[in-house]
Amino acid sequence: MSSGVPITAQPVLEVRDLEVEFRLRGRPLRRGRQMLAVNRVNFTLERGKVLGLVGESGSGKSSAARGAMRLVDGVRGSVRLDGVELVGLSRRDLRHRRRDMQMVFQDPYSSLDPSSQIRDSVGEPLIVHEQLRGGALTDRVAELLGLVGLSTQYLTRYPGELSGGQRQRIAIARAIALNPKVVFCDEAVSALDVSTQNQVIRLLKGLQESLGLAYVFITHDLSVVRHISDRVAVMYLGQIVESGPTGRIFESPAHPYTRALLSAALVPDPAYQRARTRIVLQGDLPDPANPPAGCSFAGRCGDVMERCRVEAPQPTPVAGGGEVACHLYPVAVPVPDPASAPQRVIEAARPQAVGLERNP
Amino acid sequence: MNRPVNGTITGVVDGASAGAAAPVLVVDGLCVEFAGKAGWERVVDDVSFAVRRGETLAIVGESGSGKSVTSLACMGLLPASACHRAGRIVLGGTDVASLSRRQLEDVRGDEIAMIFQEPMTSLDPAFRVGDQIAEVVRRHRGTSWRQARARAVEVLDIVGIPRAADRARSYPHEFSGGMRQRVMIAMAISCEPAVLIADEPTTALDVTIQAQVLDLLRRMKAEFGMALVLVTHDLGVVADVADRVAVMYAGSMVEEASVDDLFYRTAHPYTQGLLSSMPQVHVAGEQPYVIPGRMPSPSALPPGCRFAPRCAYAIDACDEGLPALRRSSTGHAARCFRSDELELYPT
Repeated sequence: MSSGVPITAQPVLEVRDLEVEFRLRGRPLRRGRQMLAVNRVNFTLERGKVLGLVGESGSGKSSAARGAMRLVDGVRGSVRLDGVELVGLSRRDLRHRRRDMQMVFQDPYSSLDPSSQIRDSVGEPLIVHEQLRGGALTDRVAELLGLVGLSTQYLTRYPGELSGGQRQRIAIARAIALNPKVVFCDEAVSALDVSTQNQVIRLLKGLQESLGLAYVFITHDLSVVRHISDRVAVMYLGQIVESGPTGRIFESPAHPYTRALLSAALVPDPAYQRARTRIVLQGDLPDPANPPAGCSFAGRCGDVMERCRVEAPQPTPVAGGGEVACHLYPVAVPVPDPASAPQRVIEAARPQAVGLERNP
Repeated sequence: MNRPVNGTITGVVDGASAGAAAPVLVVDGLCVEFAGKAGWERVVDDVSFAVRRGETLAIVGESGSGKSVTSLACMGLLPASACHRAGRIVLGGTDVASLSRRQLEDVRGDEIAMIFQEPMTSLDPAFRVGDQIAEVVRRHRGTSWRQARARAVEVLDIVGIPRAADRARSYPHEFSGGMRQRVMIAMAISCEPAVLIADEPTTALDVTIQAQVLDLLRRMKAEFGMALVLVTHDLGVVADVADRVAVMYAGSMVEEASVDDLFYRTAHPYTQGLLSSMPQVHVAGEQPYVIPGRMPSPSALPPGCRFAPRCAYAIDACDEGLPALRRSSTGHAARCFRSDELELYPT
């Protein structure tokens, strides 16, 4: 859309300095307090690619997605979908834009109306946005069911008659009904059994290729992220602490939190589990309404330094791609050889190897 | 912290200690049926296993495999609508079925305890956690409130709740998810049970918190010699904490083996499929593996082997009769006609 730039080179979604602020419910002594659920988050999603947004509960990953879709109030910063700024758009203009951006939630039972037939649930966006009616509507819904691997006999079923995996397929059918450019999948496979989970991942991968969809894949499950994402962003207490290409994040994680997260992920291999060095983090996520000064991870970090408790680290580039916000990686002063120098920094800063190679 | 437990562990374990390796919990030929649309539906069929002191048995399966019903049966917690058709559950030498309701209540929480996936549903939101734990101690030990509260603080400290004496006066909603699960574990171990059944204890928790809770369970097992029955669908959790593994499919146990035998010398095609389906954090893959077909419902079980319709190795015999659970000389059991000839390594 923006003139001069070829449309393929432009990222489909660009999020800059996104902030989402929630107003806490008034309790007698803390009336009117605000909580910054998402704090200066930046990410870019290329056309047809998958960005994995990883973090634990309370990390702000879902709020970041809802903020980017402008499903919540209190959004600041910039969200550009296909070059068009969404922050500041009127309700009406936003509604037109939203058809390009859809969301699939964790629990399809709560996102599908239990008293509506599948035909009506999947058809609703087509009625609203494309004014389809009657036979044309039924044909399009049947086509969408075909795309998600369900036969037309499901048209007249109710959500309660379907299994969890089938309900999630219906939710996906509705999300792709308007040919969106970006689909946010918020823990979309987390509630499913492994075999069903794999079927849905296969389906999402297939749709990505056939329809050219780009996904923001939000999950706490690192193994799923590794399978599906091109790039990964790790969130902690409302901020992205590390981002980069999936391979780099998993093979040489830079941030101590990413390393702890990877070391805590269980591998279905008993010998590997017995042999691995694990980093067990102490304590819980701090209260997001009352974040600590300095680095938000300082209180649980094994590599914590004096500086971490007073000064918030800024994102710096990491060898192998991406950025990390951690004082172990000082903001780069110009280095003679950009290829090798930052690599040394990473090695020096890794006290415990998280050995991600499989044991024989 | 880590104070030695007062008194004996339990009479059950002492009774069994004549043979040090005598199992504390034996489930033998358990069958459970529920009333379905077309008569009784067998949701657990001929399940047998034994757990020893200090041992962790993992029961693995997907939803609908009967793993949770099996664990509820061990606790004598099945609803009245369930029909316990056959089999015995022997806890420390006593057949649970022979106990009256009152006697069962004496055993539950004292000799066998259970923790669930969502601790918030098992804790009463209206009472302080210390009092809820103290109530269990008083019920089983008959101590004074003062002693019971002291024990509550002690177990909260054992499970790693900081400032246990203060936190005992908090309500469940004032704890985070991981801390609530610790409170549940504290309550479960307050009377030093011989057996702890944990049904998906970490499924609702974040990975870093999951690591903390699994470490805690491992420590409880090592320090108190507790037997742990871990019900889970996550083979990563199994690889991390289990000594032995029982795999359930459509109500029946299809394989039972030591954790290494199960992962490295897999004997049942379903186990192989499950292992291949697990996404792995250290392996980048394009297409995750999917076992074709779906698990049959208890009302429409296939005539022969329950896995045969989905099995890549099925032969005619598999459709005709249900294979028996055959145990090899190494103690590796599998319910498959072809387990001796197949070489099943996770693909």
